[in-house]
Amino acid sequence: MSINWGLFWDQFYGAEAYKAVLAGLRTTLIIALGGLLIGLVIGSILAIFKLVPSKKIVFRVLAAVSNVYVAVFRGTPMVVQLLIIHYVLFPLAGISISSVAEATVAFGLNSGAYICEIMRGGILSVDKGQSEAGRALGLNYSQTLISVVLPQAVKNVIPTLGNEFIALIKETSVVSFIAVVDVTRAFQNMANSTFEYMASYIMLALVYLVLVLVITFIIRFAERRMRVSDQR
Amino acid sequence: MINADKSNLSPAEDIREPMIEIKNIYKNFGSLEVLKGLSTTVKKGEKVAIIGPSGSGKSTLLRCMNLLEEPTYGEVWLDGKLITPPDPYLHRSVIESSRTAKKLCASIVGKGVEPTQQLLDDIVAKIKKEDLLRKYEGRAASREMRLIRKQNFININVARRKMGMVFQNVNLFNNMTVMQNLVCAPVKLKIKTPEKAQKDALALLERIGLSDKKDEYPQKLSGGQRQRIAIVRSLCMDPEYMLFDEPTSALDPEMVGEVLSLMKDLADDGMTMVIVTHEMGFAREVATRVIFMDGGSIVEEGTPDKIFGAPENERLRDFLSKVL
Repeated sequence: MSINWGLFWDQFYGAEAYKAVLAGLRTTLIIALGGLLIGLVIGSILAIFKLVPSKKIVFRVLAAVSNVYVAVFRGTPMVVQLLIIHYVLFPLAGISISSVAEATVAFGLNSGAYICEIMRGGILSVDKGQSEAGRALGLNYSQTLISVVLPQAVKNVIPTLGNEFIALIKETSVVSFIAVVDVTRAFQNMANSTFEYMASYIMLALVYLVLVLVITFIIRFAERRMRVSDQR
Repeated sequence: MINADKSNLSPAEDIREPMIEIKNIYKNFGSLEVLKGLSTTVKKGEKVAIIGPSGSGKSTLLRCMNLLEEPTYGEVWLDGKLITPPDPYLHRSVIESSRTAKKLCASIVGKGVEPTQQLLDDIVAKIKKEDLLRKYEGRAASREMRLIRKQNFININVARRKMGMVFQNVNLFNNMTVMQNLVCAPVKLKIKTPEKAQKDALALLERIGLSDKKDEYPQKLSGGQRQRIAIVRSLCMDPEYMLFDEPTSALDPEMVGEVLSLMKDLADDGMTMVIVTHEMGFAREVATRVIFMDGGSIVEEGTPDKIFGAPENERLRDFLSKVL
């Protein structure tokens, strides 16, 4: 058995399957990026809930809520969450949005749990003296957090966040469970219509690899830019 | 009147003179008692040096003054305003209106009988001495506490604007340039306009000869430069008190001089200063009063001449013989 690249090329270019691949690639990126953004917002808020030192009952409840959130979303498989959101939550709530939007929300909620822990680690990694200095100058807790601690925390977590984004991109390949055509599904369709599985899947792997390499490069660049205040 | 264990301090109404007043503070970290019922005042214009062996609670005392460390018991007053929650033991009105006091009273003279002044004094003293107050002491006591709070309490963030603090490990904001470090707090707290803050900051930087470093990040500066800029950062808030927590202990020896000379300039300008330090020569030269702490208490305090020249306490003599 050998790989018939000709057959693959005929389908890819001749039959214009590349259009579906490009559309799928766009879908993959939309879901991953949208998921990351939603996750960043949710994760940062949850992390702050967990770290507020106030002993007020409100903050204790919020900390408990974020603990439960993280436990639930880290404790169940992504695919299961996706299925539940698509087949249970949204129909029950009577919300009808596109499957791509549903997938974006699902990935956002899921990565929120992971990013919460990443951000928490990032905030804790900032020297305690930094926030003490802010407080001693008369800034309140949230002013200190926003202008002193968070900028340094974000800088510290960029490599880890990049990791999360890469993981997210690869994980989006499960969205075909709810009939979204992402880049994986596009190649799958091509393989099914030509029976040229080998060429299709090797190309699919290459597409993911190139995507991840490009993103790695962008993250490194961003990291360097944010390190101007460091001597290292 | 019986001399009470908890304290026999003057009532709050007496404090009108601007000063930091520490009233009978205790600080526990878990089961470790770091401060054991310590009282002192820092009046406007004073330069107080706090010395003592490590682990004696010097830094904790200083950090209690601006509440970076919250005292377990006791109160801190700033310019006649309470910055810690009120401590019931320090307010006679609270003790008198507590359930415990009423019960004690009833058990001695019977219910409904008005106690004599002498009896009340005894009961208050007994409660203080034996630490009898519970967490909840009835409506009347709670009302007294709320009243005291309402009349005297000010928000700590407002209080801290009057007290600059300089740390042992500097703690300049790493994510900001020198200039951003200096203008951050005054501008964010709307104490100065950005233009005025910049102008003041630049003038202060010029005074310490570092105006050319205004756009550098702290990481690029030497330890001594950083510490001097940290002092200037506090000064940008126009504080009335400056707290120094071992400002030269983490510096290379050749950088100590520049920081001390800036502090001396400040002292000569009349700034009120509290300095936790191991620099005995500096303490002797600059301080108007020296406090020697050991084991969480003030062991001896007085003028530098008395403390360094004629120490009374055995422990202080021992300490001085080791460090001088």
